[in-house]
Amino acid sequence: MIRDGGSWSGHERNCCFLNTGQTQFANVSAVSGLDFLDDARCVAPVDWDLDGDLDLWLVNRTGPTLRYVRNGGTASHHFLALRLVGKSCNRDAIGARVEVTTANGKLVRTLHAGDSYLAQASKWIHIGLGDNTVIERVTVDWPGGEVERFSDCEADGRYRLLQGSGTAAAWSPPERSVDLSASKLETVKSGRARRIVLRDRVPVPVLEYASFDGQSVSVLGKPSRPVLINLWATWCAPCLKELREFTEAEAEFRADDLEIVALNVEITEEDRSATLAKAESFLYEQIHFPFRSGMANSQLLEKLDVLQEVFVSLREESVQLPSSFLIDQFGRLAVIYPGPVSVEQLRADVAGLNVVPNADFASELDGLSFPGRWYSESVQTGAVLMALTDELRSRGLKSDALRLGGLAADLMSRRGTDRQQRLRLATLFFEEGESLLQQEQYSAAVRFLGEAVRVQPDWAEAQTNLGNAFNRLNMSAQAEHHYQLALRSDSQLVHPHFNLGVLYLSQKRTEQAAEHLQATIQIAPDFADGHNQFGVALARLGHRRESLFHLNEALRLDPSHAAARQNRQAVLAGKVP
Amino acid sequence: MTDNSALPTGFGARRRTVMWLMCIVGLVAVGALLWSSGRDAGSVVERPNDADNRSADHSEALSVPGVDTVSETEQFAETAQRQLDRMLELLSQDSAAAAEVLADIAVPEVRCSVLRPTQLTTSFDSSSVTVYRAAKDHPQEWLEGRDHLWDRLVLLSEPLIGTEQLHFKFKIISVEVLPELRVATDVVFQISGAKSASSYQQNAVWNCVWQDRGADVPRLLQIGVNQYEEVTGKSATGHVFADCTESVFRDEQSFPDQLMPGIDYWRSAIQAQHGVYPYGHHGIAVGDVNGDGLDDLYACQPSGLPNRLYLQNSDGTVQDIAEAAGVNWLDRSRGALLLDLDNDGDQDLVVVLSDVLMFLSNDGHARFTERAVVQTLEPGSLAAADYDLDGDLDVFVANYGDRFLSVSESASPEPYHDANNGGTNMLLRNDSEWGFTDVTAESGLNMNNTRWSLAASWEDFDNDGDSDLYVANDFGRNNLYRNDDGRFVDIAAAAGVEDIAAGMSVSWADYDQDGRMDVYVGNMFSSAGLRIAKQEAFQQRASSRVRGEFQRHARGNSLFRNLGNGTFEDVSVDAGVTIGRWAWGSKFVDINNDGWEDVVVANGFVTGHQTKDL
Repeated sequence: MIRDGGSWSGHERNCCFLNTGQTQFANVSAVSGLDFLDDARCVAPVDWDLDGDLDLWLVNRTGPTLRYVRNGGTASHHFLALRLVGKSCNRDAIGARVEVTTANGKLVRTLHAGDSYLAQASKWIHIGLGDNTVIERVTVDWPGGEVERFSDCEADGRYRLLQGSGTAAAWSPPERSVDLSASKLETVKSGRARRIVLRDRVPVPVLEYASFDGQSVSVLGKPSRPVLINLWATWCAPCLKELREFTEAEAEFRADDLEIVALNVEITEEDRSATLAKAESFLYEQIHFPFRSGMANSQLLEKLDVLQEVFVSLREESVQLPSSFLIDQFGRLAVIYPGPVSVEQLRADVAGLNVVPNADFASELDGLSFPGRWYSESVQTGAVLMALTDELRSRGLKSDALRLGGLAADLMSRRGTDRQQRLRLATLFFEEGESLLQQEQYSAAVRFLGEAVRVQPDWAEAQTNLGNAFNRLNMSAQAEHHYQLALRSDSQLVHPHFNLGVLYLSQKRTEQAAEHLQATIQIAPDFADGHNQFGVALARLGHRRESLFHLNEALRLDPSHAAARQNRQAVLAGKVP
Repeated sequence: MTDNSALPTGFGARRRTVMWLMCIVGLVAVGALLWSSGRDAGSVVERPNDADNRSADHSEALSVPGVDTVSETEQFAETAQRQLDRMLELLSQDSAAAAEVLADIAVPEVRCSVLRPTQLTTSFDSSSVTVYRAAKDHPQEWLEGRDHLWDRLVLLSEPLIGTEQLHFKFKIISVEVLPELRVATDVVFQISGAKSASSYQQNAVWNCVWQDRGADVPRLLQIGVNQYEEVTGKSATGHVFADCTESVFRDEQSFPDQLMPGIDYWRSAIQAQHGVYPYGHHGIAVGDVNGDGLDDLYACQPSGLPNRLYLQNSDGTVQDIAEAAGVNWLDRSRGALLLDLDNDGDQDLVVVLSDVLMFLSNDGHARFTERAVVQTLEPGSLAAADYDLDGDLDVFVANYGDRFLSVSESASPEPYHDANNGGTNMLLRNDSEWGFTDVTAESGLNMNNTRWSLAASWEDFDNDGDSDLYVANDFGRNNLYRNDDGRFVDIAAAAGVEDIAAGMSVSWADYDQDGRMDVYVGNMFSSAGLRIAKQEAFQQRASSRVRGEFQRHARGNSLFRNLGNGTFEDVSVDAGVTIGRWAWGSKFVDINNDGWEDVVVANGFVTGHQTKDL
């Protein structure tokens, strides 16, 4: 729900409690002026403007993400500000305890470095003195146990206290004239970007639309030419305005070598022919639209929705109108525009397509982000493709998922990739291979199961099925190899043991066959055919009694097992089956 | 039939994977144009927001048949609160129109105590803030009838006439079903407003008794005032603090471009794979980075946006020098400290970059050099102290959990009210020359150390000369590690400061001026959570201890008074500091220079563009 823009303990105003002396606090949240509606996170006090009272820096989730609030001061109250400098202790004197004695008693402060939540306050120790103007004594308990008394501190003064010096050195701020004024900024609850520039460009799924005369057309035009997909509807005024602007900019776009495909989305309209007429009339009679156009179908819209879902963390729940998608000259998605885009912006982005995306994130293409540097490795294109593959697969768009998944498999370095991701990708290929096996398309099955074990080599089940596919193609060496790989990952799997046993029997490698068939029935004692095959192996090895035992066991488990019955008769008759 | 006839046996498609991404199958919105900004119209009265807590989620699951099931009382609380909101909103109407609506809110013979008690004592007075309170047993002066209720509402609102920024809020904190279809509710009520040079607020707790009318809205039988407090403020702006944000950033382009839009905007603008997390936990550190005597500010930022180092100019405004300083990291950054880590007299930096801690030295002129990188888990809060008293600063790292509050949290706290399966916190010992050693186990801090920690603060609570450590944990017990010559023992239970709740922050100060350090812990106040946890139907098979723990979970912030004998007294309720709402950074600050430490609470979880709250 939060992902989609809902609230959760939102709309809460910050609180402030005034200590009214010793036992009780008063709620002064509104009077304090701190009761912003922000989703606030952190507070760091500091006498920023050095006017003798504590101001605050606040951090918010909502905008503005930083606020500076200035304390209006309490004229009748006094203060003392101390900056400690450690000598034998840590230089910042973090952990030092300061005790200030006035006529009213002792005030105690500790210097902290990081507290509250994700915040560090100023290292100036700020002590409110109330009405007191006379400071009797200042004592510092330095970390390490040294206790030192400082004289000569006066109210409303600022001092540096150097450990071991015994004297408070008056400190004056550099000459300055603070010029800050108040203006209350409202909370920015939630905004939405209207342009998302992708740093990692990946190929788009197959995108097809229907031309107005009903032909199925691919969105991607000539290679080496960028394409803008624009979604619009006849009832959408901003869409019509945008299409007019595109039309007027025809010459510029032609010069930029940009193709535009305007796709009407009114597929749900009952009176389709009327919509068609309306759309055609607008495009061709009213504005003489000079670019390609047609009708979007639900699959195309679904795929565009997938692209937004994968690339944008927070977005409207559905595709907006108008919306545009800029695809670069290599068929890769480059920019998403959930909303109208100006001709100037579009031309700038098309020009920017030739700029190699910058490893430091902020490319010239992206006017909204900022330069900076990464410490950790940035996202790999393989991982992005993987996310896209996942989403396509979860929506049943299988052929696109397989196509992009194949790219992902190549791009993701196996060592560096998350195991869960690899498993998901392998599963995609595994399922396809399994269904091809069932359809007896063994060569195709080998391709997909091979891809599954390439991504996830220690997946014993996939290795087994790959062995089976080879087996059915009578490629027994390959079959044997993959059964062995399966057992290397999981020696307790019954299928590769059994299949290997049967394979070896057929190759007259009877001792090896017996070994795997014995393992088979140890793991699966109720597997009738396991006993049958083991019985055959034993008979061939000359163990007649043991052979009969297992053939009987097979028949006990499955009285209708014809092969076992046949084999038993053969053994009883003194033959080797 | 030959023995070779056996077909290879294989595996059917088995779903080995668990985590397919969630998807929303949404297609084109037909008929709606949605790109206007979702800004609220500027209504005078803020419409209060109701249900406010994840505990509300429990209501469905826990409801059992019966008169006072959780879901029924929750529904009642929702309608009752709507009735109270309606009642207050009447104040902007003329009395004739109001009377008509009031008939739907209160029974004709409604009893009403005085809503703005007149016999108040001044419990705090200064040039800027004055606090008045009614005695606990102040005369209620009961009167019967809607006309009297209306008169008393008008009297209540009198000080607010002509004020701007008028806000009010009701929070129903308990629902008790009484005989004869009556329901009693305790209600926290706050109303405030401001004029040019003054501000005003009332804080009260009402006891409202309702006539339950089943499907029909409940009507008030009685309103009594249990607690009453009134605060006035005087200053140039009317408030203690004035928002000077625009002014302080006036020459800084990063403010409108990067800081003003808020986290949600960046989630919609930056490619998802770079991972702007939704919850906006990016800290700040104050320190003087260039040695000019003026404090500066380092601001952590989400992934894809550079951290900023705002240098203070002589006029109080700021300029960002992060790029020149070499600290404009784009990695997800949660916390940072400005510290003299090498004791050379300038402020060095330690900053969280995604899952590592980066240590950088300052050359004295705000140019930073990378010195050390320590791999951690998902670090958040940092707190430094010289725990071993060897003359340099060591750093404690709170590692919340596997995936800190991201959308796809892979690990969940179990059990919710007492979880110990979060990330492992770390203590890094400074071994000089920019060497940092993980001494978590060696120092004994590996005890109770995986409790989804959000915050930590060092303090010598027992006045024995070394720094002890308090750690606030999100789902259950907090830690108080006593430092015994560099070895730590968790004594939170014995000291009475476990504070079983959703701990989010720690602040130490001597709030009562007795020379001993007391501790204030930020938690989650939830009226819905309080209501539900008090219901019998809630966790009815659970022990009373567990029920108590759930109630504590929703109580709000805690204040523990240091008794000086190694133990603390929980004075939160009497001190009146529990209702910090969904509190994150809660901090002692003497806001008025009177020497008494006040409290500031930064709160609110997620405000979305949709108006409906969870």
